[in-house]
Amino acid sequence: MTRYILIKILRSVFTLWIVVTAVFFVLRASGDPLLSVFSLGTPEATLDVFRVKWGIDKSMWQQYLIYVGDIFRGDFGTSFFDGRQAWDIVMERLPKTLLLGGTTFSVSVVAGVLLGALAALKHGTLWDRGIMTAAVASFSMPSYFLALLLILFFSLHLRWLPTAGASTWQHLILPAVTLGLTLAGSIARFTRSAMLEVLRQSYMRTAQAKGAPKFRQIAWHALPNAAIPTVTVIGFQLGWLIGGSVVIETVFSWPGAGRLFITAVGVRDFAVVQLFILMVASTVIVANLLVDILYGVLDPRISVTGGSK
Amino acid sequence: MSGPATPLAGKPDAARETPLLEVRDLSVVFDMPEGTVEVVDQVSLTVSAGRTLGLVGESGSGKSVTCLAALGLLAARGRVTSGEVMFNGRDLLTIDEAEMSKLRGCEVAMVFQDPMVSLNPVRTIGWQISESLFLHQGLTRDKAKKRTIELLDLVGIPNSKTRFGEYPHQFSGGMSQRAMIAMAIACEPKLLIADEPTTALDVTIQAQILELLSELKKELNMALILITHDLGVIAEAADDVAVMYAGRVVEEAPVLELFDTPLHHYTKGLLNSLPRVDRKVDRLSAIDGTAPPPQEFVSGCRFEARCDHCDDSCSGKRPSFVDIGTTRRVACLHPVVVT
Repeated sequence: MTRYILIKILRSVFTLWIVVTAVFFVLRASGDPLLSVFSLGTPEATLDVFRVKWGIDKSMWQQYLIYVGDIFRGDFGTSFFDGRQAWDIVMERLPKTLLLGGTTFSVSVVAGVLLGALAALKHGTLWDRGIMTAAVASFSMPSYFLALLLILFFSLHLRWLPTAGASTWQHLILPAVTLGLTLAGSIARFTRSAMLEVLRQSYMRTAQAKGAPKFRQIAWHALPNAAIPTVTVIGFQLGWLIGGSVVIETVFSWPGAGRLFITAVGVRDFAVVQLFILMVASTVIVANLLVDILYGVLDPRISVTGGSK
Repeated sequence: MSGPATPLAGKPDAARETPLLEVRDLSVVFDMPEGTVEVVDQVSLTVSAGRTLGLVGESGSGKSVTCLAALGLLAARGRVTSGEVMFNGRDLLTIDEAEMSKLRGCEVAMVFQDPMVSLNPVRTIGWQISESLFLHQGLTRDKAKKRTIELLDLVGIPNSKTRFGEYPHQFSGGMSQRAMIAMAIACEPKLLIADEPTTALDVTIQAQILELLSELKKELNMALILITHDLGVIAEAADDVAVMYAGRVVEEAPVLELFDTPLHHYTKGLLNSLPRVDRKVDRLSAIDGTAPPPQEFVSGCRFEARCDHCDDSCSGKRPSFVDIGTTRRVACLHPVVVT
């Protein structure tokens, strides 16, 4: 078990290194940050001062080594714009993103699994068709478009909910619903097909023949089996959720890290962009690691140690 | 041909007169995309405490469906259209699912054909057996575990304490079937239905499982319905036999009488197709043709197409049962003449 996890962690570090390196060079290939800060005609001498100050006067390789070295020391660089540590800037915004992402994720998982299971149990009925139509519609629709539809209806037409900002809990509803509908839709679809597969199995008849009441058959016999494929899907969706939240935070002016990222990319604030992507990559990697471990916990046939028993 | 020629497994004759389970004229249809198909046609069966009824027939003859229907375990497309299933004085077809749940696994239990897929892969063997005890006897975790380990010992699973915590994939086919049997008898049911319990197993394991079922039957004084397509299994384990063909029972008899003097031409054909140690034959005979699928079931005798003894009277209407003595009956207009 320890060996397995150790290998996993080493691989994760390697993946992170690739991500960090790619982002580093792509960012620098995308253009000179000085151009996005200073107006044309700024004296070369002034620019040179900033080049030295920001450390972009050195060669690309020198910069790269310094950057990687700094990461190991826990120094993620300084923002070109307000001169503060990139770490502090991202951390300041992170709670809002976690609030939005966490709410969305937990509500969607619960709703998606329940609706998917319900659709499977009512297979072929109006319930099934209704839930599946809604699911397909919600995850086929681009989230920014869905966001606009929701704003149009709930904010402009009904005037129930605010369109932008994050000061009250009402502000959380629209962005969370937008993100969550897409997520819940795909989770519901996967849960449904996993459940349908499980409900056909002979062991479900055994449970019924044993005298387990309907609810127990579903909750104790079917769901743990259906959870195995569903968990994988949910794990993958976490990466999607982060990507989606960048768009949604921008649409709803949600003051989270995603919106910070969009701004930082726009002005080539290297340190902030690099740190944000490093964090996203780490989150996705940790999520996948958790899925792997959870898999072994949920399915006794899969041995996490790699051996037969 | 009268009077019971078989020993009654040590039970008094009276036990046979008050059957524990009496299926009367049970008919089952399946709703298929292409229409409704009747797969079980007015089947009647009886079985008493302490006796084993062998239900024999080819695949698709309706043996399993009859038993599943009796316990309300049919898949969604299956439907009972007529009949009664009297168990201990109650008609199981009229009681609701919640009541039925209390009965299943407690008073009536079932063992299925393929033990490997009939056990839940993500639950331990111990958990799955304890569940019956928890559901029907409300045992606490510790007591249920203790009792489960006793049950594992009873069905002959070695290292029961370790095996308790293992998962189905760690069990062999024979051990899985023993575990299924332990689960079924956990609450000491009055009736146990074993649906092809040995079909998926090796021959040596088959014999052990049949032996185990017979012992348990005696020990718990259960009624046992043994569904099989294997006449060898019937000869070994059954007291009485009902032969099914194309959704109907065609002949019923105590096991020795059936093997000795089959009355239905189908039964006779089946027996002639078996190698026997007590008769010398040069060549085993087969019954020509195949059993019809449910879509092609006719109202007259369904064996007519394959029968050498039929005449015009056979096709028109369903042959009714003729009682032979007190223990036998046959649904044939021209039964085998007993010489």
